[in-house]
Amino acid sequence: VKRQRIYTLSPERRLHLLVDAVVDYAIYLIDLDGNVASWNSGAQRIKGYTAEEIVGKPFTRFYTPEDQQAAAPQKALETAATAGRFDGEGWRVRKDGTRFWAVVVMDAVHDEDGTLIGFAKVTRDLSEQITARDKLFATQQQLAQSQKMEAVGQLTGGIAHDFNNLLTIIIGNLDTLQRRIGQASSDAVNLAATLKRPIEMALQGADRAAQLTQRLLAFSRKQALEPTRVDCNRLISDMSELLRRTLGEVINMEIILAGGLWPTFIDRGQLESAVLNVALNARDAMVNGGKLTIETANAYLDSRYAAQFPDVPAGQYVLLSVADTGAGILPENLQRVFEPFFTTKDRDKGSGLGLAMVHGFVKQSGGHVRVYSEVGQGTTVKLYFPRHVEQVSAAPAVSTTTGDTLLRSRSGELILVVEDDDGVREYATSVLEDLGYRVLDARDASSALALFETSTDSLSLLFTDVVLPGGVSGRALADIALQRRPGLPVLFTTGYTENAIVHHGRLDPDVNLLTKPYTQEALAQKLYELLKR
Amino acid sequence: MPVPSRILILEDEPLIAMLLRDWMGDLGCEAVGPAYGVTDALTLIERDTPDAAILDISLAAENCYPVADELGARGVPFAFATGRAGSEIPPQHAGAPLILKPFVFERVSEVITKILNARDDR
Repeated sequence: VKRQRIYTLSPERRLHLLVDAVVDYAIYLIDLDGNVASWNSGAQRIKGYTAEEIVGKPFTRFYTPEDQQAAAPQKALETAATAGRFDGEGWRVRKDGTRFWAVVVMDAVHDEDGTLIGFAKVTRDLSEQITARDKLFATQQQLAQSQKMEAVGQLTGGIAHDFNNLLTIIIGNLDTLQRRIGQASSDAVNLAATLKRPIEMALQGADRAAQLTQRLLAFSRKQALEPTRVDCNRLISDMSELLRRTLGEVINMEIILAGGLWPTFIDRGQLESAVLNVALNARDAMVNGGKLTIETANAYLDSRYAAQFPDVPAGQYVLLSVADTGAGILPENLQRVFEPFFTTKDRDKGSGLGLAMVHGFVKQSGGHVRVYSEVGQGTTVKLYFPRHVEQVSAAPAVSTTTGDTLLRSRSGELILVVEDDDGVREYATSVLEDLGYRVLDARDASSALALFETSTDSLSLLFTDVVLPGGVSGRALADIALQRRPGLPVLFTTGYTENAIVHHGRLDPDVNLLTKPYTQEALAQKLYELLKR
Repeated sequence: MPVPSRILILEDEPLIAMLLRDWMGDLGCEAVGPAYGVTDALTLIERDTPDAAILDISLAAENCYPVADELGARGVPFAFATGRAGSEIPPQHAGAPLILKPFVFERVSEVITKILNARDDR
């Protein structure tokens, strides 16, 4: 009897059950004025509204502010009315303001005599598939990049090998010649004297060529490193005179050394030339003067951060940061800066080997390097080296924070994230969502303001990059937001170190600033504090 | 007059091999070879075991390690020469000195003297 029960229901009831049983699709009717006329449980699940809240209300609210402005909802209705059907895909907005990638079909609905009475709409939420596809694409890109570096590394390793053989012939024979002249009998002294100088010069030239192969080998990560315990504060202090002379008079240099800096275990000479290389790039980016800030710090890269970079293990690092106020690097060039022979400098100025060498050395030393840059603002190069834990000292008392002890959102507060770097924005969004926050995200100030319009009252905090594309800075964005919502907590983020950005006058010293790269723990802590007030 | 030590040269670059031959003479040693590949070197060793050897690691299409194994088995000391600083030397030969290219006479002289003395000390 139970098996037959479904047939005892009225056809209307069966139809209702059918529509309502589908939870993966939003299925609803729209009247001729564009108001929602019916609502199923799938629609409630995907869009967040209950039937009571939404029936009778315009369906335009499911669209993004940009699409609303472009009259996209009206155009969809018109197409469905005239052609009988509209289909498309795009971003839609849930009740809580978050966006999802929707695939929609809208069919015109007619009554028995053929009069148009409304529209039937079916919407699918494909956000998860889209996110998975984007992630796959990003992974493929990263893989392609590392394969390219590997190939160039092998190539240069081969060149260096052949080059060293040739140099052995040149240097070795000159060396023989010099020794023979030294052993020559007294009546040949005059001859020896005339030959000595050109031989010495040839030897010097060949020696310099040998140094070039060392640099080639450095970025193919095949050089012989001699790591020792290095105190980076000491190293930077020792180099300061050399750096000042290298930078010249038009560039100010500030050195900020962290107290209690951990030691690291690296090749001291190579680290010196890496710092010098980065400083030389900074100098060349500041032809009209500027400021170079060198800073050291202890840093913890958490598992969340490490997951972004397959070759970076989570853990404790010593951070060495070099920030300039120079021309900056174009976004399309930024991901190529570590490629050997890639240079934007004049042909006679840059070999394109400097940063490639730095990259090779850092990777070979088990470290990590990141470059943050904004055109017209400057560039920050951050070098991370693993902390050296000495056997004799007791185990360091460091919190190894796990996800369980993170400070989570108290009530699912809504955070507006504004960040132009897609990778960093995705990272921030996923971290915040993991912490229980709800997130709106935008890549520039104008889309941030559009989102701000629709969520002014529900928004709990603005989290923005200091430097944004499109002419409106993070600071200006915050000013506008604060005019409309006085007291709104604002957290700034930047790839610059705090000292660099505050001293450059881009921010007041009392603002809340989180420097990149930030850990899940640091972000959780900052938000928790700011939202407490 | 002491019998000069016989030093095997394994090096695929003829000009470097010639240079090393000359230098062995300057050191008062007798150069054996040069061998340009593993097979040549093994034949020379089989004919008359040398007192020491300089082995270039990267040869045209092979590496020198089979020769190092043979010398090791016969108790003959040797040094590696290479222009690739990161070459991964097998652990059993990790103790052999490394002459990095480009090298000068002084370095070769120092290494040869060292390995011959080490042999004599045993």
